[in-house]
Amino acid sequence: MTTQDTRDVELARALLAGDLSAFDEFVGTFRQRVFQYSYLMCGQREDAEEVAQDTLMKLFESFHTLRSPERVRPWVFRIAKNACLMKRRKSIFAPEQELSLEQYMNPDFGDGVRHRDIAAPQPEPEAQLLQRQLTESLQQAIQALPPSYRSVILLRDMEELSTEDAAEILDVSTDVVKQRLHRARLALRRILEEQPRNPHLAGGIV
Amino acid sequence: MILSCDDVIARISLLLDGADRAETDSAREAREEIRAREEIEACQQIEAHVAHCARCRELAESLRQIRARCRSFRMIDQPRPIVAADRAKLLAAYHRDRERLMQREAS
Repeated sequence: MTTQDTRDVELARALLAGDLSAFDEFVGTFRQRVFQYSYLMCGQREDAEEVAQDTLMKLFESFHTLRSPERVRPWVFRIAKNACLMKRRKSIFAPEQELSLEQYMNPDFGDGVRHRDIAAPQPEPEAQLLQRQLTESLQQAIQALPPSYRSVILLRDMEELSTEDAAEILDVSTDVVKQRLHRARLALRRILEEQPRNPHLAGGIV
Repeated sequence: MILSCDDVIARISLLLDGADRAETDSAREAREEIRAREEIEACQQIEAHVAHCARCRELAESLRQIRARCRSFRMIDQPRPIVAADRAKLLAAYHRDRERLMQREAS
């Protein structure tokens, strides 16, 4: 369990006991993390802000049903996942159809349109922008994955939830989570390799 | 990856009884135990291969680096500070839930 996990559990436990001093930190922590998850899933800031608020509302409406504070993160992300799905169904930005990993990995679908655009490097001093570029390149790579693979990467490698928790959140088997995680990591590696030539941007892959 | 005949024979009836509801939990535990052992074995085999294969070692290392980047990833875009009205709604929902809980406990 990471330090952040421990803190999450402490905050959840305090709120379950009626300790309001934990409220703002709890809201701040999970709002930021649900925002990041839903931004990367939905692709729109406005949608992500709404998902974060909807998730926290749903959470607090039945907070006492959280029997074990240790389960707070899987619980939050299960609600967030469903809120994202609802948002994607309603969003004007949602794609008309989901694509397979192979289709995502092939940027040209025969219509001459490049569907997975990768931003060109900024013409600014590299030293100043390196950290920003690293973050942006990873974000673009993650957003280039199909949603079913992206969600696994976000829950397992970003939120560091267990395979079992990710499977429960996504309503799939642990085998499916493992398989998608493996494929998603390989796909991320390939996308990062295709990005601009700065060796730092390829996760050490030159 | 291959279990010994003794291991399988000792548990085979649990697997066969998986369809029986009364045995489902124990059958699942047995399957999970077998799978865990298979994974440990597979892991050892992969480690042995990677130790002698530069190409796979490079792949493993690059995947480790990508996972490390994911773990430390924080988006540049951050949510706007929560507005007072939204905070108030969340707090009200929390209070309503606690009241319901206390009413239930009192009755």
